[in-house]
Amino acid sequence: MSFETPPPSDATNEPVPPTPPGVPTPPPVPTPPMTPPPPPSTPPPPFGGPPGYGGPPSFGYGAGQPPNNYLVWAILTTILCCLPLGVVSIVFSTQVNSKWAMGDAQGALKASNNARNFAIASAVAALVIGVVWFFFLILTVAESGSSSTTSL
Amino acid sequence: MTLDTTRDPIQRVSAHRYTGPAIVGLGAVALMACVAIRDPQTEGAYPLCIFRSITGLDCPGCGSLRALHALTGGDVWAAMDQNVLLVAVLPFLAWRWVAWVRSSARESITRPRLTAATWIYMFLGLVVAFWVVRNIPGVPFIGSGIG
Repeated sequence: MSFETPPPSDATNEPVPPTPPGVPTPPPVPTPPMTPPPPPSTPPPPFGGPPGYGGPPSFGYGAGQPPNNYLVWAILTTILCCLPLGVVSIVFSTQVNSKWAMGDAQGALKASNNARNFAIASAVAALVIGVVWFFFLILTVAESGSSSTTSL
Repeated sequence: MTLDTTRDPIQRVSAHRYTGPAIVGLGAVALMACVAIRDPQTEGAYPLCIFRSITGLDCPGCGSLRALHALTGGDVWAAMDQNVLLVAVLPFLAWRWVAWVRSSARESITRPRLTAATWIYMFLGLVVAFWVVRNIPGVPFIGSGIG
């Protein structure tokens, strides 16, 4: 139908009106007549964009590959790591999808990194505690010598 | 005849396509074997959940080892009694793993379609609700099966 009509301004032939954040641009590849809004006024992403995905060059909003939301890892760490960190990871997983859907590619990428980091933190914490516990177990077994009493 | 170019393929980069799924699959098998052999019901077999040891409350994952142990014995009902969330989520995890293997088998990957964030928000709400309800004394079945 129609794009959002920009407020009337004095500049009649402004090349491209700035789009308010949150307006998704549906076509991934821009077609010449209907030029989608240029990349947002924000500076290029500090992450270097998504070339690592091997996708087509990103044209700002909505183009390129959506970042991984690591939902499966978030669920796994929630269920197996006994730490609220996994739940935080799920929160960021959700943000990846919602921000990407809103056209906030950078925010989605940031949330993706957070989701991954919290899942890793949860897994590493559980692993460290498991290893410490294991050595503690060996120590107590070694100290108790060959006595057959099992520690409760 | 026009090709559907709405989901254009992206060339695969990695050569080790099955490494990730293989590691995760073997890890899952190893975990199940470990839990089957070393019964989590016996005290001191595994470290206690950190959250539980600090707060004395159940976390959303409490009872998952016991549930897995029950599953290796084929006792689904007992597994659900220990941790319903785990049993409910396992089919999803298995499905994602199979999808991972299948996408690894393909020559080119298509763009993933993002699920609506609402679904994940609902799941998040479910987890939090589960966390709260399983700590209400007197509620049967939802808790982790111990004290």
